[in-house]
Amino acid sequence: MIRVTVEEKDDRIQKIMITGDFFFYPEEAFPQLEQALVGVKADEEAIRKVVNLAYEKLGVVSVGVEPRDFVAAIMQTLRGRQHA
Amino acid sequence: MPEENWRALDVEYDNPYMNLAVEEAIPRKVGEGKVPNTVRFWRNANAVVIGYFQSAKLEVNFEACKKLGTTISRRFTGGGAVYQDRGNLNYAISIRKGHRLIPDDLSETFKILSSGVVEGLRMLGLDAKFKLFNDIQINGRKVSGAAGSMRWGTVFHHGSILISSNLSILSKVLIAPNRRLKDKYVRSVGKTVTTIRDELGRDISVDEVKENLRKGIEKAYKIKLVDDILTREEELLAEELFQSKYSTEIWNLGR
Repeated sequence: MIRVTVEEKDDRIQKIMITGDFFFYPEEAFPQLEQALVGVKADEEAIRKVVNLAYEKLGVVSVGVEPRDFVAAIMQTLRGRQHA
Repeated sequence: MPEENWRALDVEYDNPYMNLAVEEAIPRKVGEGKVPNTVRFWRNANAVVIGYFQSAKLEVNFEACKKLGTTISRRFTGGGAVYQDRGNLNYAISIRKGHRLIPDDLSETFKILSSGVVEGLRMLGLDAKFKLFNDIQINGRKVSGAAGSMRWGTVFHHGSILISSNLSILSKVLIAPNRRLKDKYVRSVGKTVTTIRDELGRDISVDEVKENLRKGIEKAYKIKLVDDILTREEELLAEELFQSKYSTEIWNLGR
């Protein structure tokens, strides 16, 4: 399960924390994924682009979770629901 | 083919932070080539251990932990929160990168490295099965969860096995995934999680389980386990990690 805490200002992500029971390698790169999302427009397409790019640039491999799961979790939190 | 010897360690402390510090010190030294590939068995007395990416605040009931004297700690691997008492046995496997057992695919790594424990549980007469991507189940109920990492030149895999843990404490100290579904979750914990004792229908000692897991690991990995102790270097590193990381609030509760 992915849990997202997000603050939005002027339709952009201002602060974000993504937590959960997933496996993400290299682990130390995870804060960079969160950081990359700060300032990004709070819409699905923009978020998907950044998550995919972060995966590619940071050489991320994940188990139990895929980029689209992060996107879905962020979007559901932005829409005020929790992603299960 | 010459026999491949690995180290078997039986190292545990009363302090869960120290247990987790040792958990990191071993794969670091294995990766440096200072010690052989290693299997460690150990237990915590009364602790919640959360995954690297989890939020302590969101996963753990602080009040219940305080009341029950349960320590909240964080490990260096991903995955979910677990409750650990003396009825729970942890195993940890550190293998130097490039070993014949390690495939390229990560999900497959979980499966292969779980095979020793699956084999050991079968030796106990249990119908244990690996379940994607990190569980071991008996009769459709989870008895063990695993986590892993690839760092420091080591492929690391560890897991918790419920032998006779108190499942009712587990449901008190861990927060249900969704508050609204709490009742359903609490009920489902009893239904989806099981213990070796319950599955065997008899009391079983930790030593008996450990003995079978050792044999299962030896058979599945085609290795021989040789009893050993931590090196001085590992002890010093563990002490340092305990001080600078695992005993600190920022590490355990910072997310």
